[in-house]
Amino acid sequence: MKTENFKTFTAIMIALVTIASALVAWRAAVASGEASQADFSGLAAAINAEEEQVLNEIAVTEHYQAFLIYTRYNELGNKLQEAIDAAGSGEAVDPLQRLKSDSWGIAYGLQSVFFPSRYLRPDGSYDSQREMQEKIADSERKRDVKPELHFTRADRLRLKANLLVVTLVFLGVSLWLFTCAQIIQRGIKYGFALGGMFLLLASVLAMSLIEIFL
Amino acid sequence: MSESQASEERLEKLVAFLIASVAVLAAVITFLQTYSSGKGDEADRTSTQFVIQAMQARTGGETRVSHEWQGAYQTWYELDLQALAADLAGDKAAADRYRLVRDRIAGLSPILSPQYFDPASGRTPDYSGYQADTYIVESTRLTEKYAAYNKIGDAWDDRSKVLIVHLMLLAVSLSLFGLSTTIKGFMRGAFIALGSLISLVVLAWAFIVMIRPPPQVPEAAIEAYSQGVGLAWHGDHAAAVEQFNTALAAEPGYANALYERGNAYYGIGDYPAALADYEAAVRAGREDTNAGWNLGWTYYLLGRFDDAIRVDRAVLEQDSSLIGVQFNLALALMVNGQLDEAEAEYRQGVDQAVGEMNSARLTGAQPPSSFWDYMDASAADIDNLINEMDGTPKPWGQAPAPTALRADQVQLRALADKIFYLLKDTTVALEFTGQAPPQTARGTATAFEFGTEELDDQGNFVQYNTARSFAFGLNEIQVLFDYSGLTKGALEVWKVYRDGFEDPTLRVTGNWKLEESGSAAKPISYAYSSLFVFTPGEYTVEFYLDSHLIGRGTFTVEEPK
Repeated sequence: MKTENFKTFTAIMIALVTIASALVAWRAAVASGEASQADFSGLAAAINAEEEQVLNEIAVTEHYQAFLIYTRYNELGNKLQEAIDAAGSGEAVDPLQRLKSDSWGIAYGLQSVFFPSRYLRPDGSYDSQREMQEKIADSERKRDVKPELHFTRADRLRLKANLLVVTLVFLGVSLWLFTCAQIIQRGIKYGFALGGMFLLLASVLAMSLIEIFL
Repeated sequence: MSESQASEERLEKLVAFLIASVAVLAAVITFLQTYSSGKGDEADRTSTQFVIQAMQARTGGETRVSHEWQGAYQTWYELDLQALAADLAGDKAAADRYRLVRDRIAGLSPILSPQYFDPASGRTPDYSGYQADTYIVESTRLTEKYAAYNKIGDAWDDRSKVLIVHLMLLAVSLSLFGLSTTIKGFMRGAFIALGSLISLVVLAWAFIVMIRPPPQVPEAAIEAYSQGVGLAWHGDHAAAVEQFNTALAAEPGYANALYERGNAYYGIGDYPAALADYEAAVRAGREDTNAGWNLGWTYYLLGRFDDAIRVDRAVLEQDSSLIGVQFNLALALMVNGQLDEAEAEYRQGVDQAVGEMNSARLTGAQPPSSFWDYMDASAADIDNLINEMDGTPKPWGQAPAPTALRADQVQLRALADKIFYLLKDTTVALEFTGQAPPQTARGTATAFEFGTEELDDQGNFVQYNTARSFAFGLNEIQVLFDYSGLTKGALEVWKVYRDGFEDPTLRVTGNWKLEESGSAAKPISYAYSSLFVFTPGEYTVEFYLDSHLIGRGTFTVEEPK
């Protein structure tokens, strides 16, 4: 290759390396920006999750408290029923009957208004855990409460940005090799050009793979 | 100095001038990029602040409302029932004492103030109205501001990213100018021209980017929107529409306002207006599954079944776990005359429900509570459709006009009946056993009759007085039927619906203690206490054995005279 032609070739290659570097730097900046946005969304989702957790805890605890008061009346009614059964019949049981009716009535009233009956177990206990789990599952349907999805995406994008910056280092070395090839007059300049070309192609390939897989 | 040397020197001066100019431009763009990035961070910071404040408003507000309800109202309610019991026992003095204490409690809590509570109405306090005033409006306002600032942050970040591209392009220009000094001939000219062109493009592009105004926070629209959400929250849909109109006048493309106005129109029953708003909301960017779900359902109600099917399918592509939409799709296919496809979609939905329950159980979790609502609603939708076809629509039911149906009505009824039983069986099986319905034979029962016991003076049973409608004051009713093919010891479940919605307090479960066939009388009762009677309304009683729906019947309790 004539010296003039070789100089033109290296000049074009230097321009191409510069353009490739600009492209890689731009993609790295975009990936980094998207990672920050994903982090922000993750933070918002984490706040949503904490809020839903608190709201659900409030609801379930309040329901459980109402259930305890319900149990007080219900059990009192049960004990009164036992006393009535033991007393048999007659005027003595009338006040007990009245108290039993009142207790069970109030228990029913509390059950119908202040906590969901679905979580009453046949043994008379209350399945707070099930209510909580169902509420959490509802929250997951209603709102974005999974920060880990966003954070995983942010980590992936940050890795992408880092790898692109590493590619940028190799493009810098490629630029250095082409510049040496242009300055040096001896035969070794072809070796520098070859090295620069190899690094340029490898970097472009690496950038493409990073874009495809990350 | 020769002619070529002079020309060379001029060219070198030009390149030096261009390099200096581009360096100045790069410095200006660096400043703009830093400024934009800073504005983006600032907006993101404000946005985060609002989302945290919204969280505080909601959790603090809900804590307060919840305590008012469970503390103050519950105490009031207990005292009221005690007063009622004393009245019924003829102890007027005790009743008065309870009422005095009750009224004292009423003065201590805002939820029991006349604004939210009218004891004479017999209704509970206006819980949602109190929620709206306490925190719904405020938390909505803060959430909308969070979203608005987030949008502003995104806009500044986008601007910053574009300016980074500009800096990269200017670096390329500088490189081209620098290289042009190392070569001669045509390539030198080409490098200078290309570098200059790139710099000019960057200059024009940066100018356009910077003069474009960033989005603003639509304060007036957010205020009206928040008020509208508060009004809709406690059911004042007409007033909510007015507020959403104001919001949309200030910010015409406000997607959330369009969506919520659609919901408000839906609440009023103006389905065409709701549909128009849902469509507009989706066009304005509300492409989430909630908007699609409501849009698909409104298409169905208005008889636009092809559109309903298209939208339901699109929503399921977004999130295939939405079992409610899966059943809506099947229903739309059914009324559209695509009966085989409809059955396949229903069966897919049932398999999905069983799968969801199994996977939840495997991980020690539970399906969402809404899962049961959607399972129940899917059967209710079929029931409502049949009622509409029979010309006996219920006030609580929704279905398209019979004239809009495209299916052969005989075939449609046959499929609807089959699917109704499938859905009912699956819901009970999953809820009570956590498994799909067993492959056992379904027992049979005659049509339910409803009656009250007639007793003689000594309290001995005389007969059942059967009827379909009963006067107010009833506190026990007997469900009467003959049956066969029932298995002794199998799981027995009774569910009672009032005006279309299950009253879980009347649910009865146990094991079948009677013989394989015979006659039965099942009491549905409040008779354990003198405090409660059946509320007026239409009651539907369902009887399941071994997770199979065996019988179903309806009676009415009349309004008090």
